[in-house]
Amino acid sequence: MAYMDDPSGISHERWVELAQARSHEAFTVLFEYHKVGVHRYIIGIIGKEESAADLSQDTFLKAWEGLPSLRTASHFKAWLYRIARNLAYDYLRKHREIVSYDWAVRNLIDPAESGTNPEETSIQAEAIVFALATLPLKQRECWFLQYDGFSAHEIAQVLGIQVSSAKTYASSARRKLRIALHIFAEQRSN
Amino acid sequence: MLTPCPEWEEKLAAMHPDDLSIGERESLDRHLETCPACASALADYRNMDLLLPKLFPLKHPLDFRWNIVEEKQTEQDLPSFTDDRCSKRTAPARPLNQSQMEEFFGANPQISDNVSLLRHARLFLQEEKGVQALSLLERVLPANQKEQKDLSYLLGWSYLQQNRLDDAVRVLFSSSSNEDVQTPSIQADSQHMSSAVSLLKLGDTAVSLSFYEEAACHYLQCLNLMRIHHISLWAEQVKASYGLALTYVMRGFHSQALEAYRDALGLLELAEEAIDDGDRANVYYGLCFTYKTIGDLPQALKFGKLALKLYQKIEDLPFEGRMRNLLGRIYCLWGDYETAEKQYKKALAIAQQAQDAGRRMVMVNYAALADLSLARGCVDEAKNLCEQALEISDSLSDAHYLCGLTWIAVGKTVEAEAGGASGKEQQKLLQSSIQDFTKAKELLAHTQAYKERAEVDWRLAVLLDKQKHISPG
Repeated sequence: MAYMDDPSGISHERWVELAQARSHEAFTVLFEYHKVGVHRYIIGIIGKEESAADLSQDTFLKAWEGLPSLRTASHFKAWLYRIARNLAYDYLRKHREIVSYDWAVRNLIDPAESGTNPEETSIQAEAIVFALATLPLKQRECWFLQYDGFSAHEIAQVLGIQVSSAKTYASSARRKLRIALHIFAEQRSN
Repeated sequence: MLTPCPEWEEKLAAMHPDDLSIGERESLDRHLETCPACASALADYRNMDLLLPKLFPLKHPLDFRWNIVEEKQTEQDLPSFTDDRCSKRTAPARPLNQSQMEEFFGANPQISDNVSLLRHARLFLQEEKGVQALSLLERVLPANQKEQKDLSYLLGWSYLQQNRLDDAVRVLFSSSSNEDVQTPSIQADSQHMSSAVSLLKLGDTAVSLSFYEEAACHYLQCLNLMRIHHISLWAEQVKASYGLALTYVMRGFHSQALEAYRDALGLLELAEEAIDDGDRANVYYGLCFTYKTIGDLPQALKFGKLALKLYQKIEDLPFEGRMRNLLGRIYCLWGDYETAEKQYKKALAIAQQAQDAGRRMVMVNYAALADLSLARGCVDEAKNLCEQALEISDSLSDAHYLCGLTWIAVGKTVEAEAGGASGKEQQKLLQSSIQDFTKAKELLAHTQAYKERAEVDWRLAVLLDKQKHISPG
């Protein structure tokens, strides 16, 4: 249930306020809206799908517990992703594993979304995922957040960096992913 | 692959509307018309964006595990008020029994008087432990009107947390002696309706006690309940919306306040016939107050005049008096002292006409006239008016917010007097002004009017700094 489809036209900030007033229903709305983005962002950091699901749950649990302390409802999204980031980084510190991205290769595509040319889409997606794996972590994070609708200012809040750095990381990530796609395309034609 | 221009690369990668200004976007669009390399890069970025929804799908459904949240709650915690699912699964809380009470008071020997009992009961209620709060509230024998009001409010809250609606209605609706507290417009004929109306009443009571943070929670719960259960109590929705808006203003959250007032205005339009002129006027009053607070005086005046007209139409003298007081403040800020004085004097006349019931507004208007005199540079006149305001303030035991404002006016007057003095006299007056603001601070500490509390802290800081730098000789 997407809040934007809510016929009552309740804004995101209002749902946050209702959740702060301890409404389970309101928090469930927020959960449903953000869960995919948070899950994807955590995968982007740790590279493991199963662990990402657990960390996503933990993120929302912590958000529910900490929600009364959130002073400004409009900062909810950045605050939520910051919780996700902290948990993902804690996971990386504890496990000290090299991210294998095997999840990425095996679970590249949602079959329902393959479109008219599934093979071509699959190859392009594979290219992007391998390119993502080579990006420095901060650039990768910026790319995921940017895709999830975060502005440069919000990305800077989540990562704790300058806005100018967020813009630089995001554009570097895009440039590298574009190059990777072109290389793959050239290799296929050769 | 064409390489985009380095100076445009970062802008090409900007996805969010806020990342580029209108000018930057227009410049980029113009550049793209003449640069195939950058246009090609942008097209590639857009193709990449189309791929992402296909990547990293959720392999398994992800549902929020509320059972884990409940497991973290202790046995004595109460179910969330708005969640029927929770009330079925959690074990019912029990009141403190005799030995638990003895243990509680043994560990907390300082809790013997009413003030401490009420304070601790509130802490329990803030943690949603209504049953435990009730155990303490039952020991309170109110010694004055303020304690009676606090007790009624906290009892109502406790009963609502325990879903004891009849008790909540009895306590909240029978204890209304304050003119600020509103009465329900209909008899609720279902449990959810009763709950919604009681929550609204609880919010109004919290506002009258200046507990704005708590009032906001009650109003939000009320609105939430009405939305989830599709309860079409239009008047109550409007009241809860502008009640919530007021709590935002009093805590300094002005943009949220404006949004809540606009919600209320939207409801007014949707259910025009179901809403009376009094509620309409109250929404306009709130908008006037908020716009005045953020300095948008033209908008403040526009809504203030609309509100005044309606209050006069329905012959609501007390609210007409308040509206005139607020208009006076706006005119004063605008520098139109003559019109401000006219409004204050009309407001004062209305308040004096109401005799005992209007004493608070008499005090407020004397303080406002004192402020006006200060603005005109007439310090002696301001002093006389402050004395008249203080005579009334001394006799009010439960108007912390309004009395706090009065002491702020007194502090400002003495500070102005100190400005015209020198040497030991100046030092003495500065010290007196500090005491006045400190008194204001003590009174406002009982409220959640964060904006005024911040103002007092700022004024005290300025005075203490001034005091340090002025030599006694």
